[in-house]
Amino acid sequence: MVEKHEWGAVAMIESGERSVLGHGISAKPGSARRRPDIYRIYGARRPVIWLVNFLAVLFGVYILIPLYWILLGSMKTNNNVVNSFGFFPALPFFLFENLSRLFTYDNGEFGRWLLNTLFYSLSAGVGGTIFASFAGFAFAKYRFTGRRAIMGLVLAVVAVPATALTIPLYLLYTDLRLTNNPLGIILPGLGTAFGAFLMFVYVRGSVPDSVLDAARVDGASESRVFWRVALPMTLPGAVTVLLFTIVGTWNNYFLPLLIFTKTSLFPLTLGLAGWNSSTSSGYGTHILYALIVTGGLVTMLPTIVLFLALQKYWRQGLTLGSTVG
Amino acid sequence: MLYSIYLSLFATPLIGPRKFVGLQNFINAFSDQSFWSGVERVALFGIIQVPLMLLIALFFAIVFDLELVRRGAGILRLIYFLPYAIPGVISALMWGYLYEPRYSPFDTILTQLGLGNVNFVGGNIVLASIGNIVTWEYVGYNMIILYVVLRSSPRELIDAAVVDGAKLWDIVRYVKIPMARIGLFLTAILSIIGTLQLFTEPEILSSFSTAVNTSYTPNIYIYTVAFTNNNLNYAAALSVLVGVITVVATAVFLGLNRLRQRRAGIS
Repeated sequence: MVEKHEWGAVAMIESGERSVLGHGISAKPGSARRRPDIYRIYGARRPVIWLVNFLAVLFGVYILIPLYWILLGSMKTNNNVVNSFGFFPALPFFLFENLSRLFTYDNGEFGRWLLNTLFYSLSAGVGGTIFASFAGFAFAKYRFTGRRAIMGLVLAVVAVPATALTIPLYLLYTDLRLTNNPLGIILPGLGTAFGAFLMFVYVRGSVPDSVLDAARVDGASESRVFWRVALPMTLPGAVTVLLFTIVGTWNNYFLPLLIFTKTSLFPLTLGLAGWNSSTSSGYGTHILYALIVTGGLVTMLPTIVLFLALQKYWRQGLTLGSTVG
Repeated sequence: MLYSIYLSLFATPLIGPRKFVGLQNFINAFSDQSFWSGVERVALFGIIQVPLMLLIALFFAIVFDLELVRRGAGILRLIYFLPYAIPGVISALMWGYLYEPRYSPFDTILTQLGLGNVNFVGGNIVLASIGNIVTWEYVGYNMIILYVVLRSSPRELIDAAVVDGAKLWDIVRYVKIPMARIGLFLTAILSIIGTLQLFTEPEILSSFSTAVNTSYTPNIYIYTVAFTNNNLNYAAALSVLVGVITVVATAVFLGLNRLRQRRAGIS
């Protein structure tokens, strides 16, 4: 059963790869390909198409509702966040006030969390991408004993989403004394099975053996062959692994919740959740509605910007990203 | 995971070293009502939320693949995907504020319309509310996966169907849905696993709702056992059990899938 599932994944990756290289989603609007005339070809009726378009826009509105709410909320005073009507703006305009309070509240702990989050995600992202590239390159281009067995293991791990391993990981950390240690959150990002697999597919698909051999004949060392020849050719794959590892670490909540008890080590997600529970339980000396809302906005902006900026890379990688969960 | 299995076979008393207890932790787990009520809850959640979310995702994947949306399709796809980039904590917080009766703008609208109050975080509705958050977060992500699968399947099949006089619904029914099968299969398995691991959304909502208790989902209960009760060995046993349940659920899904395929093959 499991084998079949893995073959399914492989088949999907093969097809995804084809779309990367061939036609597919990267077709720019207004490109040469003509759009089908849906009315003539499919015999679609106009009311049906109108309904479909209406539903698509309506669903877009549904997705945007919370984002619209948080954008307005970040411009409101504490009192207005909860007392004014959520879908209308309210005066006074408090965005800048909120932002400056956000970074000064409680000796600037939010800034501290922001730096922590940046540090954790960048370390995990950069390290994870390098390791994944090494592994992918080795699987694709070297023949060594146990290669198939290790590949199988990597594939099996790809199928297990990170959350399923969080508690076992925590239990392991308690004995290794890695709780309250930044390594605890960086290490899992370094061993990204999905990344290794994605890089394997990319190296196999886009780095021909002949190019590597030519470089070797010219006297390049193996490490030079890897860094200077292979890696640039697999850049889209590497960027996708980097993006998903950074975002995965940035957005993680469960693992840091388990391993960090010192607030000075918190990432943003954990810090904001803490503010929220102390505000809503009413025990906190400060009621922080406006700061939670503004902090939430600041926390989600970087990952949204990253996804928008790197669109053309992750769109290709997403078929494979499906296995990250 | 292996380490959890190892830990689960021990017990750590308040005083003294860890001692081997065999399967005692598992025997305790089998009669632990708090644990099983959580399992039942996520099972109910999964049976309703996963098919609903995948159906919506499939609908839009086909709509975009057949280019039925003439304007702004690219932007709409990006908007649908956006929630995936947002941390689960922030998503749950936003929806929490939109749900909580004291702040909820939905509540205000309903009251103004004279439709009375709906407590989105009340005892019976909160599970559906969590379902809405999870759907909001992942529907676009699943849609993009299905869309990519459809896009990378051969277009000639559509042309051939059109030549044979197939209409829109025939193409959807006999060309697109079968093509999306491999994608649906994968997204379904990932969603099942994700459902059994449900943690962040209910955990955040527990500060908005009294209905979300400390054993609401299996993972929340394990968290409680590990931190409030300080019983790491029992927590390890429970996490092994969740792993086993996940494997069983996936196997059942695969079995049903195969059964259905076989039946389709005979007829």
